[in-house]
Amino acid sequence: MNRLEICKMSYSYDNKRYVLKNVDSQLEAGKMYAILGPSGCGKTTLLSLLGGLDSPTEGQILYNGQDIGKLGLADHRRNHVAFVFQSYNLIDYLTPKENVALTSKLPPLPILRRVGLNEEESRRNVLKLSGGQQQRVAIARALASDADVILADEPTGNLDEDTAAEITGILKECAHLMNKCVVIVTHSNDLAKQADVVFRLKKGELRE
Amino acid sequence: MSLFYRALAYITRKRGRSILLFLLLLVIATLVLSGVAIKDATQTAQLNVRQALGGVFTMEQNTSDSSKWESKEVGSYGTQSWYTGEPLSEEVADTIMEKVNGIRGYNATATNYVVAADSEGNTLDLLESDSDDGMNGLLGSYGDFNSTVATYASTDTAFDSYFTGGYLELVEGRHVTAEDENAVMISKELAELNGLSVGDKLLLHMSEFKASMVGVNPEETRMEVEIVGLFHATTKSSATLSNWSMDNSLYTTMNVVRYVRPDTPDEGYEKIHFYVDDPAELDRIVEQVKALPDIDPTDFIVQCDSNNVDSVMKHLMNMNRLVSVLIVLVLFVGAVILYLILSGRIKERVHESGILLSLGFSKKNIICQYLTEILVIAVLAFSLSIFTSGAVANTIGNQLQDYTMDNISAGTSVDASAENGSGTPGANVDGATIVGSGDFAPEFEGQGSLTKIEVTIQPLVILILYGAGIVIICFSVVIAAMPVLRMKPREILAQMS
Ligand SMILES: Nc1ncnc2c1ncn2[C@@H]1O[C@H](COP(=O)(O)OP(=O)(O)OP(=O)(O)O)[C@@H](O)[C@H]1O
Ligand SMILES: [Mg+2]
Repeated sequence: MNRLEICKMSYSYDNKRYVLKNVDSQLEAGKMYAILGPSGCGKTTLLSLLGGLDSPTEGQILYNGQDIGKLGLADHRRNHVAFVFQSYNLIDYLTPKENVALTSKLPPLPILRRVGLNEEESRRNVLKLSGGQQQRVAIARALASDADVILADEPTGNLDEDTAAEITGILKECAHLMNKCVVIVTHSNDLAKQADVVFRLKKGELRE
Repeated sequence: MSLFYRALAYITRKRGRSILLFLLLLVIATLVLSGVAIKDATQTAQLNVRQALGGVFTMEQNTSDSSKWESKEVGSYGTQSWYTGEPLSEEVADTIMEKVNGIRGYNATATNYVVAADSEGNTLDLLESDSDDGMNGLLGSYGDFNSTVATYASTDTAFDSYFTGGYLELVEGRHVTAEDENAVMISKELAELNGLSVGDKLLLHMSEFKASMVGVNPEETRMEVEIVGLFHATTKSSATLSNWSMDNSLYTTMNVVRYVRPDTPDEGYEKIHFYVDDPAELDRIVEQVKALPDIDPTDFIVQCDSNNVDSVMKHLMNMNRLVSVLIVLVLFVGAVILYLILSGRIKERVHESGILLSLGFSKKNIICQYLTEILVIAVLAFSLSIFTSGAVANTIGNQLQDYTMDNISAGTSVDASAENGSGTPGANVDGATIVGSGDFAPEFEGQGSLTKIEVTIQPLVILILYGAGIVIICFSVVIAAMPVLRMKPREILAQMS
């Protein structure tokens, strides 16, 4: 993958008030991006558009130069992007191992080890893991998929500082060592400092 | 990871939910299956009742016309009266068989009382029964009266009402038929008591007591007959006189009976029982018989008493209807409860659905997982329900059996006493019954095994249950999953964050 391009994109839920206005930007592989902004400014909305959960009201998003709307949003979701959420969103009747194996044929244990879970933890019920461990599983799941783009919405929002730093570190490795495009929505300045590029979203406009 | 893996993981790891759904489906399936089985059983019961009470009609002489009676003085004992109307003959019965469809067969009977001896002329030892009530002592004073046995002339003992009713069964040899001339059938017990077997000869003659009364030489009524078959009574019976009990009775032919009663050579049969193929057609057949030009109503009475049948049938039909309503109700309530549980279950899993959708699983895949989980549980529950419903249905079936038996017995005993009163032989084949001719015919106790109601769960019904169950489940799941199916990706995200 080379790049995810946002071309003159606007978005409105009700066709009256625009949450996003004329956003124009480029996201590349091997880099970690942070999106900062006040609550309700449209960060999650932007992420969902990048992830193909909805189509822009105006403008378009290109993946390797092709309009994802034309490629098919479901196809885009399935093959190109992986989400990591504040609330982990693991399947609670599956083990970490199985959660990682959900979308991947790769052996899950090495990936889980890479994000810091040992074998015993990898076979436990996911609800019996700490929040940090659960977020690691979610990241492992994103890594195991073929997706080139990892979209993280406040991934450290529920974690203490130390754990948040560890998770940020892992996401950074994903970008730098595994050549993924990592986009993180956050309120944390500490996290933003780690990012290669920081965007600020204000009044529907995205600025570096 | 396949959806089957996920489905199985859900079933086995969310055990409480799985068991709850399993029990619900088990209860619904058991109720439906046993309901259908009981419905079938009430239909069998209806058929049994019809066959036990309704598959037969009778023909007798119309003895109400006093101008057809004649009488004469018989020695010093008084007068003997007899009826001189058109006799009930095999020819009449054959005409009916020929002209009316749907009659399986008939048996014409006439009763007589004779003395039976073995081939050397030794009067047979008779079986004692415990039904003696002083009549024997009283009548014993009349010479050889105590040695007489009931003799039933029959055209076809296979259609004798005792045999069709299951009170008697052939245990050796064959039945007496219209082709026979000098054949006789005796009870196995009487044969054993006298060391007789099939093929042995008996000598029959009029009792000296009666011979002296009607002025005949008993030696001239002596006739040799051959034992062709042995019968056995399946239930207890009682007779007015011990020597006239069923175990001492003979089944033979009209030819033999005529020979041993030369005093009334022109008398025909007393009664003919006709058996129809389909009891439901009885009314039609009886009407057709009555309408035949050969049957003069001043000569013969053709009748079937369907009152008992109707009253028992009415109860069974009500029960049948009730069970049908219950089945529909269970299906409806079951489907509603199932829908509520399934939709609750899926609503609870909207979050999970969102996760799977965000991971790129299609909605079809997710719904199929939910469907698989429920179908696996349903198949297990339905399979177990075959056994549980068998147990439930049998319990209820036995009660239905008792109920039917009680009704058949009640129906017939009323009937039998009515017939006793009027002196006409009973036509009923079940319950406490008087069959044959006259007031002195043995009376049998009600027989339980006659209308055995088999409550079985039919494979077809099971198949239908699986089919209907799966359709209802698929339908419920799809309707319940509507919120998930309609969920827009953006709303999924709202679920996530
Ligand atoms: N489904 C929706 N329908 C209508 N309006 C919506 C919907 N979802 C969000 N909004 C509105 O769009 C705006 C942007 O919402 P969004 O969730 O993108 O904000 P955010 O930047 O992620 O905020 P936060 O930091 O609190 O998560 C808000 O004003 C919100 O009220
Ligand atoms: Mg948000």
